[in-house]
Amino acid sequence: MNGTYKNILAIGVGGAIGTSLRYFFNVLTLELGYPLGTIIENLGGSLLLGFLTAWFVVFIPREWIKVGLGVGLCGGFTTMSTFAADSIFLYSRTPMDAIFYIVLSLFGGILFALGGYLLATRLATKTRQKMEGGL
Amino acid sequence: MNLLLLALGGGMGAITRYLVGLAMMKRYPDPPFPVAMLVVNLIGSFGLGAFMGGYFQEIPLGAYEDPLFLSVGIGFFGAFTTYSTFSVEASMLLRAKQWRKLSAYIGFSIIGSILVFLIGFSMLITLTS
Repeated sequence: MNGTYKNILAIGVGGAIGTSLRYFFNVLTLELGYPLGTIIENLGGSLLLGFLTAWFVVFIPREWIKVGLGVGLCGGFTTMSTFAADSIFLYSRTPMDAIFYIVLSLFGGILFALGGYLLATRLATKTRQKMEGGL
Repeated sequence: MNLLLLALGGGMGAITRYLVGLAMMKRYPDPPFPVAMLVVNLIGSFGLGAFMGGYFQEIPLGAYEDPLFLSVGIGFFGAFTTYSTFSVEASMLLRAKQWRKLSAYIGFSIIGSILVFLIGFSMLITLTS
């Protein structure tokens, strides 16, 4: 298969899985009346993408694996449009809730992305040293 | 059936994001800050606002039985836009201590997405009422 089509297929499959998982968390937290699901998805996806970004610097994967997991799975699992909808929805009910939601998503997302990145950097370096030491 | 539509919408949203991102990077190979996903997120947030305004005239909290909400709202627009890339790109700017770019990127992404969602939402409510 042509490389571009392989990438696109991987992104489609990753996106479908990420979206289904996002739906699962949304339904799980629906009763709360507070978009906790979106927070879990956006923070969890940021952690994973941060991790993968650093991991793939050390262990370079095939392109379709990289884009399938990053662009597809993490991209499809997290969402900015629902974040915007949630913010307006909360603001129309209790403005303080909206501000808390936005601050938590913003700082949480960046911290989780950074944490994932730093964790993978250490872990990948150690793993590589072990592999080279074993040779 | 509904879940299949949801997954299909999500797959299409992710692929469209990838293709728009590639086209943006081809056109602007060296942007001052990560502009490709910013544009994607703004378009997608506007789109979700317009969809909710036109179809529901409100922000639905639990329309999880509605096939169009699942495939278009949660599926397509949900997956077309992304938060993880935003977080990672912002954390890279933070690590590089690019304060001005960081604040511009955060401001445009967060406030921008909320604002264009509201514009799309209000426009379609006005048009359909």
